[in-house]
Order: sequence, then C-alpha cells, then structure tokens
Amino acid sequence: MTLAAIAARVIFSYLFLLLIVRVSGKRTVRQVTPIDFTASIIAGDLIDDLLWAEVPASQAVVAVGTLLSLAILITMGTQVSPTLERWVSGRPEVMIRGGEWVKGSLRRERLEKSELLGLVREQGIDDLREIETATLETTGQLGICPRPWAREAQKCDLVRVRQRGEAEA
Amino acid sequence: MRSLLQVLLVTAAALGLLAGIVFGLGDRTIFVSPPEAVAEQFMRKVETERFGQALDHLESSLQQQVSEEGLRRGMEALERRHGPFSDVRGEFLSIEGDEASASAVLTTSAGGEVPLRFRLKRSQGSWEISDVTSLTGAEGELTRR
Repeated sequence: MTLAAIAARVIFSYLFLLLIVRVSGKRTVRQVTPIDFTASIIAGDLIDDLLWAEVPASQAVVAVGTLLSLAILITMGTQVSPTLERWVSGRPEVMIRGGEWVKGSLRRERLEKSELLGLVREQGIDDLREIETATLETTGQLGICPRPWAREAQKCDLVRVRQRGEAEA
Repeated sequence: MRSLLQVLLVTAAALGLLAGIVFGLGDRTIFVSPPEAVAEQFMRKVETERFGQALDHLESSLQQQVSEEGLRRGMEALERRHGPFSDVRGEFLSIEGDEASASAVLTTSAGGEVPLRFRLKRSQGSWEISDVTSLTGAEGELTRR
C-alpha cells in the first residue's frame, strides 16, 4: 500500500465525512445525543476500514450514507413519537431538588456523587443549597435552576432596591 | 426530510465520483481494495474459519469449484505442517493490466512465516482471487463440489 494511496484515501474520507455530517442537519456537534453517539462510533469504524483499504471505498460510502440516513430517520421519528423519543434518548433526570439529592437518581444514571458535584461546580455553584433543581439532560449536560435568593442580581433588582431606598428616605 | 435527501445526494455524488475514478481513470489500488488487501482479507477469514465470507473474495467461476470444506481442509493441512498461526499480512507482488498477484504471509506462533501466493483478476472494478491452489493444494488437491 503506497503512501500516496493512503493520503488519497484520508483526503477523500475526511472530505466525504465532513460534507455528509454537515448536510445531515446538525448545526453543532457540541450536544451529542445517543443517536449521534451511536452513529459516530459506527461511522468511525467504517472509515477505518476505508482508510486501510479493507473494503472498497464504494462500500464504505454506501455504509456511511445508510448509517446517517438511518440516524436522520430515527431523529425524525422521535419528533413525532414521544414514546420513541423516550426510548431512544431517555428522559431528563432531576438529580437535586431543593438543595437535596434526589434519592436513587445517582444510581439510575450510574454517576458518582463527585462527578455530579464537578458538573455543579463547573457552573459556578459550590453550595447545593443554592439549587432549586439540577437536571441531567439527555445530552449529558446539567441544567441548574437556582433558588430565587441565589440568582444573580438583575437590573430590575437594582431598580427595586433603589425605589425602596427612595421610599424609605 | 431535507437533510435526509441531502445525505442521499452526497452519498450518490461520492459514488459517482468513485465510479469515475475506478472505471474512468482505471484506479486499481487507491479506492478499490488493492490485491494484497484482498489476499490478506481472504486468508484472515479462512484463518478465523469464516469460510463463507472467504469465498466472497473468489472469482465467481472459482466459487463454483471451491467449497467451504475445501478451504477448511487446506487450512488444517497448513496448520498440521507449520503449527497454529497467529497473524496474517498481505504483500503486493505485481499488477499487469487486469491481472495481479499478491501473497498472504501467515505468521506461525513460533515466529516463522509461511507465504501463500495468489493470482487475482479485476472484475467490475475490484480484485478477485482467481487461483487458490497455494491454499487448497496444501491438502493435496483442489476440493471440488
């Protein structure tokens, strides 16, 4: 296998994969759903076979095209069927409510307490009492709703304080 | 629906491009599996006893002549002679027009190497093995259906 042939296959694979992922509809790959995750693992293996000429390029192209088409069809299915969406993507899990751990949530998500605390700290919170709810989304990200007293001050809060001060004066 | 159509369009365009390269420009080693890769895949499947899949690498006329049992017996004969094998790799030998030869080098558990030479023919753009006597000959003669 010549070096030039390897380079040609890498260039073709990269451009093909980049183009097909781009047109498959996702504007960003930051939030990976189980559908994307599964498809990307299989696509990686298919492209590996192509790079090392274990299969003709046409077979790899058909396989990747079929894989991404299937991923799109399943995504379309989840948009019309909540049951399919729950089955494929799971459902958001509330991990912390009212500053307390929700019983069994860590076990259900197979997470360590330290891992979740790390996700909480990444959002600038180091005291669980500040949290109204912390929800592990289906994308794997943690969505946090702080308690009203722990929310960052808004412009309207300052206006209210000023009005109160003026009234007292 | 639009993204699905676009994926199918990109797939079709890529296939068209590959068809142009393989059939129009006569590519024999870049976007088709080169002869040594075909020989390696064939022997890898024989070695792991996936004989049905191994037969897919043979020319259609040869598929009529060679049986899965023939491949099994050939492999068993090789193992009796050289001991069990631990790996296989393909080696390029030559390409002349639509014919090529390549070898699959089997590595024995003791570290020795057993090269098996195969002839291949190009059919519909891809390489197919046209002669397996180096394998089936190990058992004595080609097992026919």
